[in-house]
Amino acid sequence: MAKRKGSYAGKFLRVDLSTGKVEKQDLDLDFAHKYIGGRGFGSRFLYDEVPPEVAPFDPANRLIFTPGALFGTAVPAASRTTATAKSPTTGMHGDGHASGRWGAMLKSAGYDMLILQGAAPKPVYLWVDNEKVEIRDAGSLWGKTTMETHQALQESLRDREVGTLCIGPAGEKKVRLASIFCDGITGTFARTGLGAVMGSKNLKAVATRGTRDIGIADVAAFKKAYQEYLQVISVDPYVPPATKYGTCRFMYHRVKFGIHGAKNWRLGDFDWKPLDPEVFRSDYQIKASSCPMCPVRCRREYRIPAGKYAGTVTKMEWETIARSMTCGVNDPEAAIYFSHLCNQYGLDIEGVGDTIAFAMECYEKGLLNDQDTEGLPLPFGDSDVFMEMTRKIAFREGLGDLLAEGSLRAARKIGKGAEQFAMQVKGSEMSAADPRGMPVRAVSYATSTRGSDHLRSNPYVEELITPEEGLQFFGSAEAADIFHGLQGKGRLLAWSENLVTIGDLLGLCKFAYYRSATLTYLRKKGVELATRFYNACNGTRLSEEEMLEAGERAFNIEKAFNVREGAGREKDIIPERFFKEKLVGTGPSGGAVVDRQKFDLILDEYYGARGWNEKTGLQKKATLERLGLKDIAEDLARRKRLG
Amino acid sequence: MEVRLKLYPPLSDAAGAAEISLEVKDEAMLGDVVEALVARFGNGMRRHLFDTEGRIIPSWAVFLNQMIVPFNQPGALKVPVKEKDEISFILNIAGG
Repeated sequence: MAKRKGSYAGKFLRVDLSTGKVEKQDLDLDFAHKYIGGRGFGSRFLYDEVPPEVAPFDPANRLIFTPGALFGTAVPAASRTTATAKSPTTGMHGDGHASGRWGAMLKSAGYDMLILQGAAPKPVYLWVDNEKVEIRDAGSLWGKTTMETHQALQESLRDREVGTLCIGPAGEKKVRLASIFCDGITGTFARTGLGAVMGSKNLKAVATRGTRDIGIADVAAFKKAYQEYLQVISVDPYVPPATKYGTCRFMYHRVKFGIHGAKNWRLGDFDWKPLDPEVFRSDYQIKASSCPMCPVRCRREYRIPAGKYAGTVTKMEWETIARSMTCGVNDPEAAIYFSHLCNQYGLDIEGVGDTIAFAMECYEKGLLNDQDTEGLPLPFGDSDVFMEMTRKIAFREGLGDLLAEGSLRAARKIGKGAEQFAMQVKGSEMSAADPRGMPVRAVSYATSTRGSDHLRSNPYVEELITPEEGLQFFGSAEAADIFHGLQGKGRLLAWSENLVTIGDLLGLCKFAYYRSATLTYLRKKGVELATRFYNACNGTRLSEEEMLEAGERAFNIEKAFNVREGAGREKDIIPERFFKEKLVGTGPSGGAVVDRQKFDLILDEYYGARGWNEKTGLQKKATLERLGLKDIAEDLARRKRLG
Repeated sequence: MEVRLKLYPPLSDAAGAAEISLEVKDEAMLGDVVEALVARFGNGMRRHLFDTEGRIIPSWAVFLNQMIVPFNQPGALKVPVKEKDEISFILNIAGG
């Protein structure tokens, strides 16, 4: 097969699971260059095809898979695919991002996007083999774990290279904390409950084989950008700890700032020593690897050699450790086993960990009793309980059936003021670290279009810029002051959201492109080289400003989706605990709360920087038109949802 | 005088130890500690503390006896240190 120049495959694939109809549509290159790919394609189609009257589990909801525009090329760490749907967790825009070969297989099969709609009458899987597309019976796969499903598909298709997406038992049971897994447990579309959407469509898996090549338009320009990328990686001090410890390295940052958020986001301090990254590296790590072409190599596989979890082998990321601490657990083997359970059952580690922590606090406060828990005590720090509740959530057993709805819905059913212990934004549980003491981080969790999320922006920019850079890029030297600054923070946040969205358009890893030790390195990788890679692959001449604008455009489409669902400024908020209760601890953030006045002032500046109405948080017509989204402005105007 | 340093990756790898003692001049400031660190461990240490333009990497946070001194703030390198002070170097940037 001849190589094509350009990183696009050239077609969209649409499958209606209710009727079995398969459609293929040519990709319009003007559309491609405007929305780029990944999150850009997904958000645009979701806005156009899923109006407010469609509920998340309605067959009319879409489940859209879009590999990043550079996925399938030799661009380093270009290995991410976006999944998009209306979220059963938030009722708003939902998306997840995963690495793994499946996205490259889809493009090699000839498709830049897979749109799934309808619902099959019985469990099925989709088989995409280049031009051939078949809906097949999945009766024998239903009930299997993610890894079992992946292996069964590869065996039955007699091809070890086949890429797969699948759900585990949690997705089958429409657990709102269910994820979709890529190539076994290689990658996870973790957040916003997309596994439950897939389950609601009776779709167990998608297996894909593609054999076409993805070409590069300007090989010389590509090679030059590649060399410069490797140069930046070689000097950025952000990289070596990632290469040494994987994402476990983030522990040290939490320790020094005292922002663990342990025991349901109450404690800044925690007995973290048993969870030291060095412990995982020396006692449990069996494999260090990377996503395709990535020089950072932060992926890790661990094995528990002895004890009650002996023989467990799984991949694990930092958030697993963080969520173990949220539940008061500091046993490294329990953390690894928790990761294993979530990976096999098909669960979102962050959502599940925080929801169990919520239940533990409800139990501590007497809002849940032994009758509610069927005699199972729920103390913080008990790793057996932690595991058992994870299993119960996956299979919707007993109290797990309630918690499978996520912490906010569970709190509303429990009543008695339980909602104050549900640590969530827009219905999606917290992630990353405690924001008390770091107000821009608090606002970043609030403005994320998919609920609490540290990966929707780069709130850490304030930690790496100088006052001069703060003044130059964000209009105030104060932007560089982590603890006391105010001016420039909103502009910094808006810029960083546009910045990291570029990664989701192109399929670039956040850690390889959108985290750095200096602003110079960050801009070089995340904007300049990302744009040059795109142009080299596609023979285009997009400017860095246009690429940032493409990020801004995608973010605004997601925002518009949420606005159309009824969300305004009141939804851009963090849990009350962060405003009212001092973080317990002795670190620099110990005793801190999020100052509500500062929070509001940063949010005002943020809305101003975005061109949104500061009072309502709704988008202005002129902003949407500037971004080439006139039709969305008209839609919102008809619904009286413009700012 | 002698100060005690706690180093986190990648500095600990460059030094070959997570905790070291370092000799600095009397009435030294944090900038002198950085210089002494580079003088003792060479380019392997320098490349993590300075960017390619020779500027100090602003995202290093130093904890001087548990008090944070962010290196992206003016005057950070001029903060005085005393005999037996404990100084921790940690890269400020999280991400996950």
